[in-house]
Amino acid sequence: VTAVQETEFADYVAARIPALRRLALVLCRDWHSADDLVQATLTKLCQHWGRAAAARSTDAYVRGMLVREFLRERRSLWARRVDVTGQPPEIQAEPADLEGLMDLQAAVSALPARQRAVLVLRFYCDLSIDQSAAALGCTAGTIKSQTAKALATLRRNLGHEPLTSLSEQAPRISPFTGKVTDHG
Amino acid sequence: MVENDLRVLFSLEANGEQPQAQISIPAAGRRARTRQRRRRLVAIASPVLAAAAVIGVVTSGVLVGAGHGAGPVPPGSGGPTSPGPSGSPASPPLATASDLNPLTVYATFGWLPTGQHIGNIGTGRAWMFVNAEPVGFSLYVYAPGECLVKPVPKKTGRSELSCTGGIAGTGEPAPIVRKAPDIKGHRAYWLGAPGPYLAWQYAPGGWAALSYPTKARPGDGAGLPSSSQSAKPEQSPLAVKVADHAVIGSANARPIRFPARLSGVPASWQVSSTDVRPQGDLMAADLYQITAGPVVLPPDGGGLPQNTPQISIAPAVPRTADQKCTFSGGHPAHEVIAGYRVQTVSLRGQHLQELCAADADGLFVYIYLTGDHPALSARGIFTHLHLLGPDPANWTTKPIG
Repeated sequence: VTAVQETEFADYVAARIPALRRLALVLCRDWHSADDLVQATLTKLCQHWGRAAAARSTDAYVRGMLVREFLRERRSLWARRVDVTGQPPEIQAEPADLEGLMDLQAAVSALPARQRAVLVLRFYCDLSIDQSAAALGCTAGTIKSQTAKALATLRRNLGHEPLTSLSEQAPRISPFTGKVTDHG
Repeated sequence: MVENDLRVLFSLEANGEQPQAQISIPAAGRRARTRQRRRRLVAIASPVLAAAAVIGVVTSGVLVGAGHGAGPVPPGSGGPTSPGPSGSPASPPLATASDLNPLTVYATFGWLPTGQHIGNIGTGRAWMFVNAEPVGFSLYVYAPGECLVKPVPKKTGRSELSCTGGIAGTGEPAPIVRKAPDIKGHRAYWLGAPGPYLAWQYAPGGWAALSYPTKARPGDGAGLPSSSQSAKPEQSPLAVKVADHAVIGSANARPIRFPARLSGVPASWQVSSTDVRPQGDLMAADLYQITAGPVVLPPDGGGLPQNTPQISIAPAVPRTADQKCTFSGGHPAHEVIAGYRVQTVSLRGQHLQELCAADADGLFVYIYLTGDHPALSARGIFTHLHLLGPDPANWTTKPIG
């Protein structure tokens, strides 16, 4: 990393930290872990700033980097041995909605990290299947199946009825077996 | 629908009140630099390579370690170079594992696209790199025997090129995605994540990798470089041209000049890696690391290994952010050592010592070392440093002794 690159890096990061923290929060589910994740991502980003700056969308590059770092950390021996998950982020909502949202929050927190990451990319970052696949470095099929599994788990845990109509990108759940199958 | 509920939930979570951030941008920069240097040091920590810590020499345009001589290609290093498609030059003699000389720059770009120029250079015993500025190409050159082609792992279904410290210092191998046009008659490949890279065997057992700027494929919308293992890396004709013109070996080897000489230390102390800022043709060291005893890697993977003091010296430019004395923690003590005003910090819990002199004979000096019982303290190292002033013409190619 050259001095010029480090200055560019610092300028870029200073403007993006709030957005990166928000993304890290919805992945990690607590602020301490989120800040640790952002810090680790920034270290890697600084190492590879040349490539990030040369990408067509540096924001997309960094987003992918952060999500992959999240998954890498969760795969580590330390993370598998020690549960350091703190308090989930507080949400402000109408009392009528709050209970349901808190149930959903708990159900999302219980999902495997990779499924949670896929949901965040699809429903927080609003990425398409192909964009999510590019961000995670996997195939579109993997994104579809991970999304399907995650949504099915959430529905099961929340007691929702399986959907009867499916959008193009939504998972397909067999009405006969109740199992999730990839769509397309 | 759960999908809609998820959008609402994530949005509410993300847009809640943010507590004070526990994130430091300078720390990220510092750790990135440390990590890169640490990876260049990994070879030293390896018992095999530590035993073979003989500084390499360069002969016949091929990097060959002194004392190692010619011999069979190390297992898995890819075998002899195959001839190019159109009467490529004969393969140079085979080389076994050897070290580079961290006091010498062995590689450079022979050609770069308009607007790009050589930025900084890093040398080490296992590998070195040359970065182009403002952004774009980076050339990584590995000593013979430091890379090997691994057979197909189950995970990726593709052969991998694995190098000491990882490809491009990432700590990771990279899958070989497809054959690339030969580079100077030597076999070459496009590599995937953490790439894309263009890698070629510049000499038997010796690999080079070029990181190059990419554009996202049309329609992917995410703007990500094609860096996924499943994606085919963009095959850049520009990368082939830059690689074809890269100069690697003795023909262009240039000694590095250091702004200080460290004397009165044990003969076993050696420079193990150097960060270089070229000033025209002059290769000026601005940071270097020394092995001062058995190298012990920290178990947590962070920070510097023990017994590897790091010395950063550059012509002083007062009141610049880059040359501000900043420390990893604690409150610095102000003192005068050998007539120079310095600040020192010693964090016993972290076994860390730092020393900073903002202007010592026109030089900015920063010393950083870790370890329980270092052979010399940061103060001790500073007192053994003979500073040579800000003019690189007066600098030395022998930083120790």
